[in-house]
Amino acid sequence: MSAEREGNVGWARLDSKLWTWGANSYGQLGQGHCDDKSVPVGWTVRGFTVGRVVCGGGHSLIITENGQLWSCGSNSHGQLGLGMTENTSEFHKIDFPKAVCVDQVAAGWDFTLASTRTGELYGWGSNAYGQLGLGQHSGYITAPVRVPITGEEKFTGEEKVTGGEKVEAMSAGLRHTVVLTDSGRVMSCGDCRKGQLGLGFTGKSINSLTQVTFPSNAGRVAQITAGAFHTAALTEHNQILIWGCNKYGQSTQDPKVTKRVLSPFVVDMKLFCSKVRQLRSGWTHLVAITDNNAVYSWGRGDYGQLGRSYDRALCHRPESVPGLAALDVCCGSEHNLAITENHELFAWGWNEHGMCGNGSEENLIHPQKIKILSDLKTLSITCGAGHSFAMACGWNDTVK
Amino acid sequence: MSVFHDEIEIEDFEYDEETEIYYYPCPCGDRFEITKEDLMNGEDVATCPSCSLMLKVIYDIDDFMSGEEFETVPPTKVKLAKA
Repeated sequence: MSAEREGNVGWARLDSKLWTWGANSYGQLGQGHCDDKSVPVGWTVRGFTVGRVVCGGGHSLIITENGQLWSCGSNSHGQLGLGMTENTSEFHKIDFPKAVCVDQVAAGWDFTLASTRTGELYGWGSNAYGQLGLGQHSGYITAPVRVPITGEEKFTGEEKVTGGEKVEAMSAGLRHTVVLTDSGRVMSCGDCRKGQLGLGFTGKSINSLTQVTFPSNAGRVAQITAGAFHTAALTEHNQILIWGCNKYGQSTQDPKVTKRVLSPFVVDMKLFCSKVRQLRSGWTHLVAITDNNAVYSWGRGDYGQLGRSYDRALCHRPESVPGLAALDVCCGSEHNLAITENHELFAWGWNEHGMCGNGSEENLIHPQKIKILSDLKTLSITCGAGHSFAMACGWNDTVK
Repeated sequence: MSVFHDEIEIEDFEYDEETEIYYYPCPCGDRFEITKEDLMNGEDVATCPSCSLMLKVIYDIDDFMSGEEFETVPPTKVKLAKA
């Protein structure tokens, strides 16, 4: 569910192929049908060159190399941005009010946000909790509208907005949105019943992006990731901060003691063997990669989400996944994908819809290589709630 | 014996007034659902049409027996104009 700033393994190459598998109730795999696939299906996209894939609850989006945005899957609340609410199992191009080059995309349960290379923010889909940041909460929108990045500016329905602040990264949970701006501010809006906005309270929804206050010594936020009802940030000072629902120990605090965390909680970084360089979140579990490629997990683990055996009473304690050294990891609702040091693709966790890509529906407690892709070099990975995408190319393919 | 995926308060469901169904996100991408009628009959299990997962719904049946509308935030189907 997370969208992260362009990284060395985040973008596919021109000659790579797109693979997709897992839950497909709404056609979110983009294959022209709605049948689940328990092994990856490879396809060559026609009509555009895939830059990056971002997935939400039951929908998928492709950012093309020239900044177009295409979508498919569930469209119950207009989250595909196509001006309608019919689901579609093939990718269609989203029309923006004016010509734009899409940079970042965050996909929540049934809503989507996209920022452009010139710094504008757009949103569409469900706004039932104010998660689009439009200054009101109700209903849904089926096509992109401008979103004010700074909370002070009100949405007028007209083209006007930014105060010069641009989106650096963003992420979307089930019902909330979190945005990191280029000035280092973290802004959130949407549902706040579990404290997931980090604004110091639970309860009413907040319908415009509002700044989250961090401890002054935490450092500038570099990455943000939203879970179902929690949010996590990683700073340049190697500090993780987490807030929101703590039902499964998401914040690294014992859930028997702490149910909800209303403001950014400073995680004890001594829990990790080394500096953390990547932080990702599923719905109720989190995964961190250290700079020596060790993978740590914590939170809910009863479907194998943690990729290791665990003691339920200690699920809130980050522990490393034995034998896994990863360059990149991404989390679905209850499953995970990882690219290992030698660019192989591994999966673990909930597998009822084949989202772990091994042809079975048995949950995977430990990371397992996706065999059908073992002859390929995996370049990028993306998870929706219950579906998966990967870009891969041949080992000897020259790049560009 | 089945194990519940989670226990969720009815206030956390989204209510569709047209179909009189309460919905909650399922990890598979589909939605758990339970009808208002089910709740009035004392049912407390929400199921997902695509999945084996189930939710236990936490609610006070008295809220559904009095004939009064249950206080939640019904999503109004108002479409905003395109900018």
